[in-house]
Amino acid sequence: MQETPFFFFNEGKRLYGILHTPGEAMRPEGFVFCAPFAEEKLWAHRPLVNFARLLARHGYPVLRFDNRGSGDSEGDFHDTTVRTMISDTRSAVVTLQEKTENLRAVSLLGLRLGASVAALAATRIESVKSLVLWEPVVDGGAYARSLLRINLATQAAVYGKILENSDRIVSRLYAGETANVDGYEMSLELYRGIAEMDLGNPSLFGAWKRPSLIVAINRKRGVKRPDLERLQRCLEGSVLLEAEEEPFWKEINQAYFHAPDLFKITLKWLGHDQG
Amino acid sequence: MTKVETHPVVFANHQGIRLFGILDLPAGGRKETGVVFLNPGVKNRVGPHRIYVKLARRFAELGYPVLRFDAHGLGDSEGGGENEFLEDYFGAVEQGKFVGDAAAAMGWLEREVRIRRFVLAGLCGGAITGLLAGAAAPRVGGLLGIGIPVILNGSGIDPVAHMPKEELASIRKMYLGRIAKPGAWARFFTMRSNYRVLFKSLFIRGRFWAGSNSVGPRPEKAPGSGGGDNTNPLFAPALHRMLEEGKRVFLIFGEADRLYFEFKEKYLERHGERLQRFGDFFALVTVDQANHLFTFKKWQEVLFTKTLSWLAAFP
Repeated sequence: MQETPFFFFNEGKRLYGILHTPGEAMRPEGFVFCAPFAEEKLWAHRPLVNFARLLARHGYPVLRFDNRGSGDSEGDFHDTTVRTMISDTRSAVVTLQEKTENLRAVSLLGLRLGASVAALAATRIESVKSLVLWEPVVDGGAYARSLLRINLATQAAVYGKILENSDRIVSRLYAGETANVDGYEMSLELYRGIAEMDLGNPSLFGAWKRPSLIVAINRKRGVKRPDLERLQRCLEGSVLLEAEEEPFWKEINQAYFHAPDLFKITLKWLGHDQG
Repeated sequence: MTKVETHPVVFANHQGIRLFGILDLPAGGRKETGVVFLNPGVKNRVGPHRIYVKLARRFAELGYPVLRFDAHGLGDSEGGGENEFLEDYFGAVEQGKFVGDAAAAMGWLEREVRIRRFVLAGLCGGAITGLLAGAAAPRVGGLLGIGIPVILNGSGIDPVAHMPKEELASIRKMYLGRIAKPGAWARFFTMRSNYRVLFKSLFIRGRFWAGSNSVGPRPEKAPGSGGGDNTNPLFAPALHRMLEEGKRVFLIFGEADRLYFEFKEKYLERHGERLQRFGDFFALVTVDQANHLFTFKKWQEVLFTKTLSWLAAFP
């Protein structure tokens, strides 16, 4: 297996990517990974790296990349919008196709908001053959509100009280300022793009029908997930499975490098029974 | 402002494990000193809210070559093991888990980019790695430590037992501020309060919370050895060694950072007088109200200004 870091361009911005290439027995299907949002990306980084390596050992080429304004890519976070994330994903798919010989199809794998972006991007990219959505954000409005609550929690921890409530933060966004989420400066366009995202809207996917795996990540099995069930009903050809894992995209009491149940379920869905 | 070229780089550590990084190389007017950023805890080379990227860009624009890389088992790099308690992982970092990787990074920069003098930089775990690596390496000229931990973490070490008095005072103030709030009492009576922390904060020995620091310096003992504290025994010797060898050390904390309370109580109270010998070679700066991660933009701007000003002393 080879791992090659490089930069590629999209809309004038240099994006960082790392290509995981299997040895001789390379499959004609590859993966592009869509990373989660802001600080979730950092906490989830290592499980995504380790799953990319696992896929490469099973013969799949994998491209992981950073959206503009994220990770090692060019730009500032306030340049990021849902539109740019979809555009960067499309560019990553093209890059994987250019860098890998005999590639017939590409699958998108995403986690949290990255999964939502992957689902939106898939409907716009013809060569995407299938989707793997790990704990996707279905209700963008609720997610956007949770981002504002992160700001409130920081205020409460530092000042002992809330100096600026959510309404005021949103007003400032509309006045052209940014909103701070865990240190990231979120623009109005990004906030609105996330808030307006509703993956449970049947019209979103239209006639798009490809094999898709949705994985609910729960600490214990048997948790009802109406949000993901709603998405499954909208996404024709999808299956909804459950993995028993910690929420490794946020700070927990473990250094989480592997998500064994999640990896096993995903590999099994891909047709690899031994995981 | 110097034009900067950014390159992905890969090099091996002493065990042959491949480490991945990003090198920002000023195109002209390059300074002699290179800056190496070290992983903050388990997070990768960009740092929380990309703070390393923001700092690296600013440093490189002033002419300093900057390498941000992932130590083994982190970020994009090879190596690593199974899931483990975060506290144990932090404890291993605080005892020098990544010192060898820092040396490998400097060795690579020396060979490939012909840099012979270094500033090691990092937040939290990156700062302590920088301190331990900096004390051991003659080619290191300085340490930029952001929110450096002075304690040892570990799942076997009880953090509540070793909480600094100032942190307890802060928690006490918070609890007293909520005394009239029904929600706080609801938490208390539904077993959702942390009773140990609550009672410990209400009965702080030495009345440090009231402004009279009557507790004198205590000896450092290994955590778990009975009656000792959780101070990292490697911290003070490494810091003193760096300073005695004429290296510059710049420590910056958020004023509201728990780690700053620990630094004051577990290092400054015990060794503060010794620091006076080193004059300008040691600098300690706090940023008003800021937290450990310098989350808000106004805190980051102060951090950038202060660190750039300190770094400018290096050729």
